[in-house]
Amino acid sequence: MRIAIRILFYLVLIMFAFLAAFPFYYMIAGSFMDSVEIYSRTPNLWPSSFEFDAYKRIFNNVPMIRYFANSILVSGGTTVIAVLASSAAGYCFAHLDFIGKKFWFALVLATLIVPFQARIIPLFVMFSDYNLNNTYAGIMLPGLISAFGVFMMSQFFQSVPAELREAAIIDGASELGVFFRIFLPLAKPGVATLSVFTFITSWDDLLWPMIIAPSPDMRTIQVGLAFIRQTAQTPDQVMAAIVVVSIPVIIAFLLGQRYFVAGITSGAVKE
Amino acid sequence: MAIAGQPPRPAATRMQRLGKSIRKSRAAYLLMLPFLLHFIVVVAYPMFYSLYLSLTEAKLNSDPVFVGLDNFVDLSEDAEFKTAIGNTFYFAFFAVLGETVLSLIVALVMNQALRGRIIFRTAFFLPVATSWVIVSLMWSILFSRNGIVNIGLEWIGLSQQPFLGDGQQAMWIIILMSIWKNLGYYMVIYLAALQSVPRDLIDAASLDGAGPLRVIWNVTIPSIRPVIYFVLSIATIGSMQLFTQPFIMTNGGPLNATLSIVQLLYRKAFVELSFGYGSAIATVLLLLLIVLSLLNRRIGNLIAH
Repeated sequence: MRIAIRILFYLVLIMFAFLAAFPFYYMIAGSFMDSVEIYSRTPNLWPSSFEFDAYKRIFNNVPMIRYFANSILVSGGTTVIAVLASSAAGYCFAHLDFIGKKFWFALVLATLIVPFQARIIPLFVMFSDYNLNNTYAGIMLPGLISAFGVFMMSQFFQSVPAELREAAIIDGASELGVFFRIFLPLAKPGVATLSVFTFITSWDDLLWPMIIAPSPDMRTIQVGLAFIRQTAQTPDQVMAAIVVVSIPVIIAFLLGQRYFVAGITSGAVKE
Repeated sequence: MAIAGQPPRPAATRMQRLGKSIRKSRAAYLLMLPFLLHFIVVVAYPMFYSLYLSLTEAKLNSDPVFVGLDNFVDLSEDAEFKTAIGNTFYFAFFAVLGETVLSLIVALVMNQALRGRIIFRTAFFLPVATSWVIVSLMWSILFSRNGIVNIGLEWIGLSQQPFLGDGQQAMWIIILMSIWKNLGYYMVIYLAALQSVPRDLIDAASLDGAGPLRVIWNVTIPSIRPVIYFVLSIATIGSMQLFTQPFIMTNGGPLNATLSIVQLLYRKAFVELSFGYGSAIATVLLLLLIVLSLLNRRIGNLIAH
């Protein structure tokens, strides 16, 4: 490759990478600045001192720990149930012949394009009738099992040879035993991918938790942040909150990157 | 009745087959029970319920009253709704265009043998790893009236901008931010596709004297067409559901300049508690998405042939 092109490529990448990363840098720097520094007429990109005032105030003014706990409970619970149920259904679609299989699979595919907003109002009405407002169950239920997850796991199980099942059945294993003892343990990479994906989707959701669980002590971290400017008036506090919430997620994300990438690309490869 | 040339199967095997099929079905339905229950109760039923609600006048704590197509007639005369439709299409057009093209360019560059790819990829992944609420808050701070961008503009001698205080500028900030956040996501999809483009195809074209840009245009892009189409469709579906960005950054303002369809649905259903009218908006959104998906498929087929 010619040197000029190489340099051009690097310049393009460096520019895009700078644009991608700068806002994050500014949040960290800004969270240590006071209002005078933030609003000074010459741009300040480095705080004059590293004091954790904004962090102390945000934890005093806003129940951050509670928001975190709510989110971990909701997203964690959703992930465990979603992965088990989606794996079981995906396995059935991939390896069992049962009455009504084509019908159910067509229905799953059909609902892939139906947006959540198309059923959010009836869900709210139904859940209110059963007093699920401001409960963890209420937040978790709609997103528990997604058509996408079932579809993804069925794709995954198709790559596991059917002979494994037949051999186990001949050896006297039950149909349920085959799934739990043989196929589920083999599905670890698929399970990891779906877990990361489900957790992130649930963690990032705003609209539904905000509608079904608006009470202050039931807010998830996203709902809490959406209303944070009502209690945290200065930008350094908001930035501190952003940093506190983002860091664990970004670290977890970078560690689980491989599975996330597998999840994103699993849909595209098939087309 | 036996068809000629096909001897009737012995009854015993047929019974055995049926027995086996029922046994398998029983196991399958047992395994699928959680999924099916969930699917029926919170996916399929609410979908039809929503269609029904859109034909009613429904409020909280009162039974829905059937009103036929009245909600849709009202919608067609609702200036706010027209604004929301216009805004959402405007947003979707430019966001989808930007996301599809820019992430492809970045992916093509990233696909070259360059050093530091892991560092670049990590940088592009930062916005992907962050939630829409957080990136919206971040950009609100950066582009606020006294924010760092305005300070920087004045410092280098340019005039300050209203940014989120101006309708047109606010919309473009939301568009740019959405492209910025999704860039890494679509780049990853493209990268996976690019790695499966046969190497010898590219080498052959290069040997024939084609320059790098020609190779990309004539060899690489045609062979990843289905993936471009895939990115186009999911970006379109995602963009049409615009909500969090304007909700956090502008609350639909100024003067409804950034009001989106889903945001109007939210207001009607959950602020004004008009469930019938809100459901009518949901129905229109669903129809729009179905039409767009069919259109995308058509375009995809046209490109492929």
